[in-house]
Amino acid sequence: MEHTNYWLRRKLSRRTALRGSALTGIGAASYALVGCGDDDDDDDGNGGDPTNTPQGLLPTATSAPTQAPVEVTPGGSFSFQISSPPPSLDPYTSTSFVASYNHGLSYSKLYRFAAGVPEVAPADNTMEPDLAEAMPEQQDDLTFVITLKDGLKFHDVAPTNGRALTSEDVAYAFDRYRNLETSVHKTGLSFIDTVDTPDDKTVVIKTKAPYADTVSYLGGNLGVWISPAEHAETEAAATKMVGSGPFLNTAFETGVQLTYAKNPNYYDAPYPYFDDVTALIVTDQAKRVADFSSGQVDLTWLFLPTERDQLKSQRPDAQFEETQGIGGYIYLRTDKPPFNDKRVRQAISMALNRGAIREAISKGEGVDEQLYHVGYPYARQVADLPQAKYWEHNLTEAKAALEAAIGAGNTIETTWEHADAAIYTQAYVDTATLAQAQLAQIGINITDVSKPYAQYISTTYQGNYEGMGHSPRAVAYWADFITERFTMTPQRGRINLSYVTDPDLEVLMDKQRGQFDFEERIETIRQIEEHVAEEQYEIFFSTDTRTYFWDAPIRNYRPTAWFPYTHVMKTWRDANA
Amino acid sequence: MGQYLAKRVLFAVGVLFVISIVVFTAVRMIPGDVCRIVLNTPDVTEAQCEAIRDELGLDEPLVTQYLSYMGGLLTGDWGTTLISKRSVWDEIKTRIPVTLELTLLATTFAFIIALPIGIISAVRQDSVIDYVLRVLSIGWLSIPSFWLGTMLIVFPAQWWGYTPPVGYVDLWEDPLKNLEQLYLPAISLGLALSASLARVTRSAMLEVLRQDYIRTSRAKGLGERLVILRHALRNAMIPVITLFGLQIGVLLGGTVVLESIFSLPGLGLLTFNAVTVKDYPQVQGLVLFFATVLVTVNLLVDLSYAWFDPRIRYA
Repeated sequence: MEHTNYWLRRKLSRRTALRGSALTGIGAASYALVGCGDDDDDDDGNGGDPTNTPQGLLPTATSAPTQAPVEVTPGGSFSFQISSPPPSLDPYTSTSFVASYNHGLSYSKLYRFAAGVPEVAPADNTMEPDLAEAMPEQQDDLTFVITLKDGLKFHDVAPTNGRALTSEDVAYAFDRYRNLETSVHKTGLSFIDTVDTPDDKTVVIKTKAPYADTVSYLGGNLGVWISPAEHAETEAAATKMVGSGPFLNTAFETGVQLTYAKNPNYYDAPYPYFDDVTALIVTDQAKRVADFSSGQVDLTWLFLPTERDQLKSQRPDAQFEETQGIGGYIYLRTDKPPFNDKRVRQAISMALNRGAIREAISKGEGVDEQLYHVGYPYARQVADLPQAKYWEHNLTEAKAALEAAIGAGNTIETTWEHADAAIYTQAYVDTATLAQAQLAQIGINITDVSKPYAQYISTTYQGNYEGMGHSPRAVAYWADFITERFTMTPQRGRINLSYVTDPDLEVLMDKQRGQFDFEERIETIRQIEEHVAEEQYEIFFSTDTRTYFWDAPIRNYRPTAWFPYTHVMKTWRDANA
Repeated sequence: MGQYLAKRVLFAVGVLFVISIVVFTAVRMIPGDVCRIVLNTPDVTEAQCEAIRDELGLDEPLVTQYLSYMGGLLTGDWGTTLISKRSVWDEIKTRIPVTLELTLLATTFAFIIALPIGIISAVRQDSVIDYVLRVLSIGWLSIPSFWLGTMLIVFPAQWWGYTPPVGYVDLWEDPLKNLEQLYLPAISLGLALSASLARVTRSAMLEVLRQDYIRTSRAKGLGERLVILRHALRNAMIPVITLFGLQIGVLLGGTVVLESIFSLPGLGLLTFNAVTVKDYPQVQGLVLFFATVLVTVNLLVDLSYAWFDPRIRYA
């Protein structure tokens, strides 16, 4: 079994995690990335010293913004590719990760990720103030007092025409996220009790219960963008962004591109550096590779080893970074036979030959995955779990466990539902095919059910399935993401695809949610890791390597696991390179 | 002629009516809850779903929904897209020029390749050049356009660091850049069409070249070029044009894949995106639009027979 990955080789993991505002979180879609590849970063390069709040209840954060190097050359253009058009740009009614990439360019939020610059690792979820002047003052376990920066303004275009952004706009946004009929963020923000605005510059957020992920959530990308009322309540909100972010959204040509121009009144001067930015919508992988090879685009990403090696040979001048991609998983009906017996689930895990799957689809790269993605700085490698044996390919043990559960000579006939390759890539489908063949070796005979993406998302992924299913995972920027996976409690759980009802797990999940002390929380997380590893409520595959490439003269850029592309504002092009 | 035209138009309207019913029903039979597609999250309450269904009129009986849809169509209201809330017709309308230009370029390319090949093959029947051209055309016929398109992207980039310019530019804004963006997908789309057209041209030419009037033309002392181009080719064009009319559907289908590969904002890419996110109103509008185009083109093809062969009269 492989024991190392980028994270283990790096110096930054634990200390960065301790400095980080909270743990990690989730995006909204398929493959997101964590990890890092090169060795030129260090543990202390966060651009500022960590600061603690007076009470020491909150995790620490960097000061913001990072000081720009003196030789910066502002101006010019920057382009990157996105793999599909955002279905809607309205942050109140959308959870699309493609939309989130773009929200970060034109909208602002109270806090933002520090990642995206060379000093910060891609999956470091450290937060820095965005609209906020500093990290929140925490008066008690429930109250977060946030002071806004001076001189905040919305874009100088209709309908906001450069008007001031006040605490009322923040309160409006959270009210809309929490109460609009078609809002898709009600559950995510259900930890908030009230949002008050004692004056134009102060926002007071009270939570219903102690919630250690408050800052992480407020700085994430789901239900946090401040879109003003005069724009949010128009139909244009779906196709245009008017906010207070570093770039003005100048056009959204469906299927082609989104274009942006520098916001001259941006509150975080000297950012942004580029005069204009283009997000090119390129659905075809071969074209993404070709366009970067021919120098027509400045940044491209998410390449598996085959395309990575191709790009490396075609663009030896380009900068690149290899990151660990989060692994997919099998979910199954743990509320019904035969998968309600944990021995069956353990047998499935032991029957999988993850190494062989990696050889087949990712040149053997990647490591075994578990509940807390092994790329998170605070998570353990599978080999370090007491239950590591369930990840080892052991057909004898697997058959024994299965026989103990269903009786000797019996087999399981079941279905495995998954999406087709259109959105989740061929590697995802190939993983399902290989795994099904492996499970047949111990007597689990699977009927493969492949569905078009939209059908899969609206049926199987809603829990409407029997037997088994298979999905990619999204990297999570808040540690409490597990609650939404494993609880059936209304307004807490978002999606519990394995139909888990486990009082012991509920207790642990409740406990970690209120633990502001990082070390204490980690202890609880360890218990959850082991509990879920023993139960195999979800059966995880492996990470893979995903590579980002960017043009040689681009400076102050580094990939980030997080969807918002706000950090592009800190990037610039070295005219002398 | 007038009576024939009226009959054909009425028939076309009937066909479109049937298609509209089939499409309308089929789209609603696709599994999956529309409200979850609109909201795009598992975190949906029944109240939210009811609000969405009410907004889209999906809580009405199917017949009422259909009548309302058709009423809208007749008054120019094709509905709005599910998620972005844009007008379906506006989305289609703005993309017609791109797809029209692409299919015209592909067709032009196909005819430029197909006619000479078909003619030469027929005139030099069973010669080496005939065999070579026939093998070539069979080869082209067996190359899928999406594969060819991908190869035309990958290899120039690998060998010469060349790809067409990114970010679509309108024809009237920068004609050269526009053509540079379109010629590779046009070749990909047109090559298979050219192969089938070449094969039909050859067969039709062979048949025509054996006719008495061709022998008479030659006996009168007309030059071979004149005999082939003026007397034989024109008469051989009827099956070629018929095939072309039937191939329009294949061409439009090809745009779905090629516009996606080459990131061209035409009807094909719109269809691809609409199907991917299950945007019912958009898919419905597009299928109906494509059906209208097919029916119209085939009607025009039928009418063109009289021009190619004046002996044909419509009654």
